[in-house]
Amino acid sequence: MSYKSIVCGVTGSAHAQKAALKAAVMARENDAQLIYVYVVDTDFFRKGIAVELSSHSITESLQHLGTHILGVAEQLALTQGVTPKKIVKTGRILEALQEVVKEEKADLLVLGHEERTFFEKVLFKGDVESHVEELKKKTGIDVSVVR
Amino acid sequence: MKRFALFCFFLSLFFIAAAPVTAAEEGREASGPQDTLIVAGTIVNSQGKPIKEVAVHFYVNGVKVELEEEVSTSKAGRYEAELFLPRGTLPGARVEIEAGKPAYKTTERVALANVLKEKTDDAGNVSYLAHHGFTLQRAITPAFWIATLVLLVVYALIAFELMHRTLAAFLGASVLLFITYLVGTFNSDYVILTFEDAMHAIDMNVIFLLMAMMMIVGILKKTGVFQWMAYKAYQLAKGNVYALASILMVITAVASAFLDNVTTMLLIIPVTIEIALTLKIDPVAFLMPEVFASNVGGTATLIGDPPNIMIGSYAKLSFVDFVQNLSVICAIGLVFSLVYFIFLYKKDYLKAQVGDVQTMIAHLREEYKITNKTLLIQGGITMGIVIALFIAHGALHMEPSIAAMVGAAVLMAISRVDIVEMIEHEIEWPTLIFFIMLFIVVAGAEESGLIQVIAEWVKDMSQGSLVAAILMILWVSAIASAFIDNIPFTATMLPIVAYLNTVIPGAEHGILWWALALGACLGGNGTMIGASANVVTVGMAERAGYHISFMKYIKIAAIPTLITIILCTFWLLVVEI
Repeated sequence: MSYKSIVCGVTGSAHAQKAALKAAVMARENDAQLIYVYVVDTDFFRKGIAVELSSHSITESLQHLGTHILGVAEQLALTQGVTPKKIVKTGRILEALQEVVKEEKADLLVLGHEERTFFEKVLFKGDVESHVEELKKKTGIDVSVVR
Repeated sequence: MKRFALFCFFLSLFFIAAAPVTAAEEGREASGPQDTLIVAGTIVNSQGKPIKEVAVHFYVNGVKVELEEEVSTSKAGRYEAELFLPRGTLPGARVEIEAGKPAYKTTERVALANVLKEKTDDAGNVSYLAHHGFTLQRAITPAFWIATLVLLVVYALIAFELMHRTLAAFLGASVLLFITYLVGTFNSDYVILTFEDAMHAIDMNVIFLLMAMMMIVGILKKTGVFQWMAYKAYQLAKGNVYALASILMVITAVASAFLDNVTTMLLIIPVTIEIALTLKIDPVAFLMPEVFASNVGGTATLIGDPPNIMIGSYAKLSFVDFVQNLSVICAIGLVFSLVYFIFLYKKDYLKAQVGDVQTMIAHLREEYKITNKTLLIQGGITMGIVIALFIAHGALHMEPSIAAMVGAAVLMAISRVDIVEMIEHEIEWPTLIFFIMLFIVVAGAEESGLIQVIAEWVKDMSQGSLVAAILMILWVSAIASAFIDNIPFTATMLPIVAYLNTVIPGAEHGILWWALALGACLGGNGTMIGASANVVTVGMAERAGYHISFMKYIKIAAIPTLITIILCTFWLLVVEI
């Protein structure tokens, strides 16, 4: 199966960087457009544990961080001869990814695996694996989780 | 003509209103010579604290004396009543007195023992004087149980994150006031806290200080100075990762001592992660020492951490008091934790791929430069003046909030920053409302007697020993702050410590305040939920893809937290006592 547009959600983690590299390889092999997305999700701060901060301050800080992380992922893509499009999206991770998939008319979503304990799943509202089926259903495209 | 008619109308209204008073005065004079008894006294609780708004009633030969105005105690617990009795009533009559207030047991009627004749005037009126003080005992009324339940529910809602802490405190405060007026109007056993008492309980010094500091930090962070300092740390370290970690810790601690820990971490984390990613090491190896240093640095000053602001305002402790008593132990704690973290992350630091240091420095210089030099100069000078005023506020008898407010106002005026934007984005309104509501909830617990019960229990547990009290306050605060929000905990502890200061020999110099400050601020280092700065660090690291689990946090932070609390124990028992 060939893909024309690949969206990859990235963070600075080793798994996410691995996913970014794999997405770049697939983009090269399929001659597809590659889109790296960093989602600024402040839900954890607002609902998880209250802090003395407005979401405005956190968003600004995370946007800056996201830009840098996308830059690191871009370097990986360039090693494969692919120039990615970089998007910093603000919102809840699942919704933001769905929006980018729709906007970019993507046919594959690539994500890195994140290990979570039970406590952390509760605190961070689930993990990647627990949301794959939901993402597949809502976007109607393939979702690949890189371990 | 119309004006004259209006004047006549108001004049007649005045005479109508004044007539009964005049008649009463005339009546009193017309009734002939009188005995006047002036009774005064102070009413305190079992802890010796004056009680306000205690109603005092008088009986002469078993008949209640109806006074024009009800006699009640002032804020200082003082009452004074003037009884006008028929001539010759005194000194033979039996004059009794009783006092009562919701949440306290009404006293038995007590006969005034010494009624002294003061003088006789030309008209034959005789004045007498008497004095009687009371100690009121608490009554366990429904108000006590409601206030206890509300406090516990608010704590639980915050601790288990069942709702936003501001909403939890808001709900608690509203329930207390609603019950007071809905049920308390008909049955005084349900009077928990009056609206006036609730307003009085809000420490506006704390609110204004927090608000003004948020404004100053909001302006300072627009200059990019925090990120620039992190870049400078890298430049100073010259590629030495150990030196880099140490400098980052010191910078974070110093910044946190004067600015709030959360903002400091929020601004320094992105640049730290960027440096770590460039060095190809786990950013957690820098972030954990930084957040630890932030909490230690914040403990050192009056404005460094919200518990200190609350303690300083409640106990009237100055900025200099905090620096004199806490900065040295915080510096010692910082050095110990610095050494600990360097040993802990030695392997990570060794793995660092330093590469081309000069290229990295050039990159960071470009990315993290000062964005607004003029604003930085203005902000720096203002911050310097504010700190100078903090140092002088004790001598000037000026609340610290005034120093911060004048600094924030002047800085905004000279920098021409958009005030609306500042108020909308930089002031953390949920936090300020949380503080306001929390003060009301704790006041409810204090008014209904819960705090007094806890204070008595702590006193009994310590058996009057200062050492035992220090150990209890320090360690209980540290353990509690590791798992629950240290702000409501400190708010609850303030009246308890104030009481212990008055009953435990040697505590009157305020050492227990330092035990509370050290415990509440440093204990938060123990877990990822112990301090807001920890939550921000874990959350930011998580969003960057670097996961710090709850247990991982404890594994990393428990030992240095324990070390710092042990150091504080020695400090308090050996140096401060």
